Amino acid sequence: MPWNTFFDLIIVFSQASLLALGGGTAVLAQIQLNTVNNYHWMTSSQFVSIFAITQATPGPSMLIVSLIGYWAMAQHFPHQPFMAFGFGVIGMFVATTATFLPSSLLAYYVGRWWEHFHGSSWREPIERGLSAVTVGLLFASATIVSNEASIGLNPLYAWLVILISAGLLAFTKVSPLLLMGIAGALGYMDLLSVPKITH
Amino acid sequence: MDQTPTPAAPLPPADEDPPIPYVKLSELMIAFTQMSSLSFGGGLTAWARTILVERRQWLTEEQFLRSLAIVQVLPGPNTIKLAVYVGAHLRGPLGALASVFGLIAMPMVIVLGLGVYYFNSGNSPNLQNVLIGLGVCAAGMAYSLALKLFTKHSRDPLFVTFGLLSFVLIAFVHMKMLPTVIGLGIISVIFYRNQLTKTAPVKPPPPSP
Repeated sequence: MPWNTFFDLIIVFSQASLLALGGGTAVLAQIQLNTVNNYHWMTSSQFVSIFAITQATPGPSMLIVSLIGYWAMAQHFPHQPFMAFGFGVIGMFVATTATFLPSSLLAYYVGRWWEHFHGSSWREPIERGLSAVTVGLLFASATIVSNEASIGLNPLYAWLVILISAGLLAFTKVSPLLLMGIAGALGYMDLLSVPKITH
Repeated sequence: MDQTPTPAAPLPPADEDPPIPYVKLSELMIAFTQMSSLSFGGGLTAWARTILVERRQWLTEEQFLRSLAIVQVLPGPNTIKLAVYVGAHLRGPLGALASVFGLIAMPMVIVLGLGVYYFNSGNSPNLQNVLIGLGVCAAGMAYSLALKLFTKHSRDPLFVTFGLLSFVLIAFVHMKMLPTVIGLGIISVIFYRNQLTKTAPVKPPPPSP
């Protein structure tokens, strides 16, 4: 019975919630580690695909946890589509709540209290210091995820696409959807993968 | 009432805010749903500002900026935290629930639809290839967020130092994220406070004889 998975989802995602400084990206690598390596809910390439889906759709990218929750439960029922869907949806709600609740509670309570704090000389150091450490975490997480996303691909092409899209998105007004469309097309045309050796 | 001077202009104190307007829960939900759908592809913060400050006038510009500043320090996705903070500000806990629901209900349905499709798609190689390409681009998106935040503060040597430290320790030395962030976070805050109190004397110098 998949009950253990419910608890695993809660544990993994409530921790992720509190580590997500600067947003879901910071903790993405951690989530990937848990999802693929520790709990084996899906393979690495499935994770990357789900990551891509949630980046391409509206809403916070942290909705990836909703899909992981679905997948973690649904994969217990490989030949029963209705059970898979039913339990999957429950898993989705469990994972999503576990992810958003801790940080939301923190935002609610700290938010109310912080108003009284705003003249303090600690406020700006805290904001600046945490911001700096967050940037490092974001770069680290992006690097780890990029390594996973490039598995099985020609590393030069993959990293070219990664770095070019990073630069374009950070410094120009290029539409993210356009970039995703191009990247999807490149993938479809199989231009990114390791060249197959033909004899 | 004197406050320790800070490099950035301080936001006006909270007691200068206008009275909190009464907002129906359904209006709150609809406003955040609008924000969510308009920001397809990004820019939710900008849309949040447009809808909350300009169109609906539920917050002043200063209140909005203050909300952002406060929630950014905390863990969690900024859009969710902002929804919680603004919703709670306007209608308490129920307001927080209404805004978050408005924000994520539709995206969750979309994501679920696509996810179920992908789950049941078997091993279609074409779909897999497209998703691989998308995945690479999405990884680039993750970098772009880091880049944007970095370039805002790239001239602050403390910022660059601690950013670099946490990047290297986590990505290359493979230290665990939570303890590293907490440890480095505490150290960086101390360094920043030190810098702050050095450049901003608390007492004026004694008058010359």
